[in-house]
Amino acid sequence: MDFQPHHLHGTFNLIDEEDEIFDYQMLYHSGEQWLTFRLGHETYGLEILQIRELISYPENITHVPRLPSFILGMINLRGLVLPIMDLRKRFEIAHFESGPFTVIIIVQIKTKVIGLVVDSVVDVVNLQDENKLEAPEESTGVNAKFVKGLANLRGEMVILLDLEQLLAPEELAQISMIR
Amino acid sequence: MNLDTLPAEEFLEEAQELLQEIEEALLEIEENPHDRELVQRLFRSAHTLKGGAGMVGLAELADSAHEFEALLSKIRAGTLSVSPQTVSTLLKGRDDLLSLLNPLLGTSDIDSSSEQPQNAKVLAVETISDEKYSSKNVNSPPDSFIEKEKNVFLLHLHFDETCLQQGQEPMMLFRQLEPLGNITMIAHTSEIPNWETFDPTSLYLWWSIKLKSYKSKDEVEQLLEFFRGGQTRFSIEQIETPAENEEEVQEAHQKMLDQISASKPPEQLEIEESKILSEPITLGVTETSKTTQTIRVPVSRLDRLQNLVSETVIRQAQLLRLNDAIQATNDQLSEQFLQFVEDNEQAVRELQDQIQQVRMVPVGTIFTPMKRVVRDFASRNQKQIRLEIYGSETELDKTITEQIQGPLMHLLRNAMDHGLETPSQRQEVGKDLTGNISLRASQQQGFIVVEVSDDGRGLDPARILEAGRRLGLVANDQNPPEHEILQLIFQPGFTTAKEVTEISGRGVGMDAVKRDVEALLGNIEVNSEIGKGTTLRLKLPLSLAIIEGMLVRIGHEKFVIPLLLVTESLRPHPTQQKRFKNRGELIDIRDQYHPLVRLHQRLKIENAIEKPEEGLLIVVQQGSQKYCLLVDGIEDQLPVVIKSLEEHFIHIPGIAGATILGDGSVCFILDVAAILN
Repeated sequence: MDFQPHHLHGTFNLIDEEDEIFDYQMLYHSGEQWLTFRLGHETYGLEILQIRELISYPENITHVPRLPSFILGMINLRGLVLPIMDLRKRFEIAHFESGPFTVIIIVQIKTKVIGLVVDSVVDVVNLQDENKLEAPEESTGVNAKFVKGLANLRGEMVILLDLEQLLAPEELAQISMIR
Repeated sequence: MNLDTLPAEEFLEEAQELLQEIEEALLEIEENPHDRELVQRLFRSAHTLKGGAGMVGLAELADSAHEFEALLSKIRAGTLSVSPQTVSTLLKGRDDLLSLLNPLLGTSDIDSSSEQPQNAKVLAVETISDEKYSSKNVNSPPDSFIEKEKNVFLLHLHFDETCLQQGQEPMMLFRQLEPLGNITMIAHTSEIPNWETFDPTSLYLWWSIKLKSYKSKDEVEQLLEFFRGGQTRFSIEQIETPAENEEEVQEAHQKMLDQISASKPPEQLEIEESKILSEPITLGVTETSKTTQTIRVPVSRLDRLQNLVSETVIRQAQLLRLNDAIQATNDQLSEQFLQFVEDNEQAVRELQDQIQQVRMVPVGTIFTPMKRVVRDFASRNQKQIRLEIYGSETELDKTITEQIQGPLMHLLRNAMDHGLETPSQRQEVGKDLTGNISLRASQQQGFIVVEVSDDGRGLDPARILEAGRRLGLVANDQNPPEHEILQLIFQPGFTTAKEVTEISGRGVGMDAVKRDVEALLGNIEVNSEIGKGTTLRLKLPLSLAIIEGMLVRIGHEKFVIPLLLVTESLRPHPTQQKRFKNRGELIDIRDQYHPLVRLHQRLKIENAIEKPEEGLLIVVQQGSQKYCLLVDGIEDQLPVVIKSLEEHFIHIPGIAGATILGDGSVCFILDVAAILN
């Protein structure tokens, strides 16, 4: 598995500068920055460079006809219309909570922008290579192709998601085919 | 690819425009062979092309343009007359120039695909007997120019004060003059103002040049031509043939210098100019000065601007909603606030209009190339065709204009190829031998109508129905009305039927045309009468960014239906609802039966009104056919800003795009065509 360390050059762009979620100094530490969040009983991680911003659960999500239920609908984010995917439904996590901590992580891969609903955000962590573990086949409830690897963080296992796989054209093509 | 060798993008754009202008002028000159202004215009375009090509290092293009220009100069000199053959040769030459350009543009020219590409050089040699023009590059001095430098010119070069700001560079002209022969130059500083009014970006110098050259006056003028425009004033005077011996040369030189240093103020010089010149050069000053006042802006930047304005429009609606909240707490403040919002609204609308205006181009820009297509087609197929164009000044969004060019070209070819009969066939039925095709554009409330019509043989419904039955598009026991039969030509399967081509040929690619038009949220309709002709009518929105929409409610959800498709809305009486075998549910509106489409079923929406008499029917036109869409009710009618969903990578069947309503929520725009199919 491929773990290229990222070289950060201070041009890190969280888009919404007002939401200073992270200590900027942290960015210059070695290793990769990951955002960890909860889905059901598990902790997951997304690479921070793919995250645009975090928003709270919006008032109105416009339902999209004829799409599978894990696409909750579309929202207007300051003029940008983007789809919202409920990761809990996508991964068929049986018990999830919606509450004040429910958060939408807005991620971006190239021009694709999508919101991912998660139970709650946990932390921003530095992952050194020594924290990482190879993902064993079928180790988690999540479809193995969406898992980039695992990490051991102070004894807790974090499932590192492969966003590019999750938003891969063939995955998305499937979404639009489902009736 | 080496980026350094890529010619400047601006040049490529300019070159395309120049070639377009050349084509237009050539077609025009065929009708007015003695129009000197047209020849000058052609000459100027060709020359600019040559100069530009040289500057960006496209030697082949520059050479070909030079030969093209040489042909034109023969016309200008009167040694070549403007006959249809000449025009054909020149048109081919123009195509060759375009074919040199195309690889750089990464496009292929659909027009010339049927024609044999030809080398411009071959063509130029055929028609040029005069070797003088054939292949000599203006910029390269001949091997033995010293012997030939027999002419002496005195040039006064007075550039436009703003020429540096416009990116013109007098130095470039001097460099081009340099190889022509022996040059003596004087720069005049008399017009430099005092420092208080001195603008460092302006050009205050002007020059006098003595040029000894083998070139003729015409050739020198050609060089100057490229730099004309704005307030630029050049004069060129041929003095005497050079003296034989050194002394006389010195004397003549001194005399000339005296003459120059006793130079007059510019106004006088200009008057002098007309005396000096045997042929005063007053080439299109108005035209060039017009171009100096325009700037090229990438369409992407306009898109961005338009998006920003659209945002503002949406915010405006949100401000109005905010006012409701303010009113609840403070009446007086609310009044002030409302006043502000309303004033702002005006400015925003104006801004929106202005930006829309910037994006508008006359539809004539795509009609004009059609003249050429018709001309070529007619001469190749021994048909006589008259193309009439109406409303070419009608303005349409640039993107839409570009996107309907292909479909229109297709309709035109169909009309010429299959719509119009051959002259002999026309004679048999007692029609004028020349077939007529008209292109017509007009603006109607909020949308544009473009029509392509011919006075040819028309579509035969009986034979289309027959073909439709054979292809299984129509059941044998079905007898659809005529307008439905004509719709069959838009069916994808219809294209392959050979019989159709024989009947009328309209089937070829008509489904593609329909798809293209519908992708623009437009509509295409066909009307035809046997023996009289066929008309295809395209209805298109004015803009792709903002359309007039009807906001409807289905269950708890809201959708926008493009208003240009809506013909009426009504709540039907139960007696208007009919059910026919094989044809499903129909609604009887003034004795016309239209299919009922339950939108809530198609979109799988729950809790919607199921009985038409309790809801509302939106009658939409799809092709020539009308459908009744069942909705719960109409909420509003409003201009909506279209947000494309394509970038969000999820294709949603039946949804053409999204918009944002005043409350900030997302609302989908229905893709009516897709829903009905």
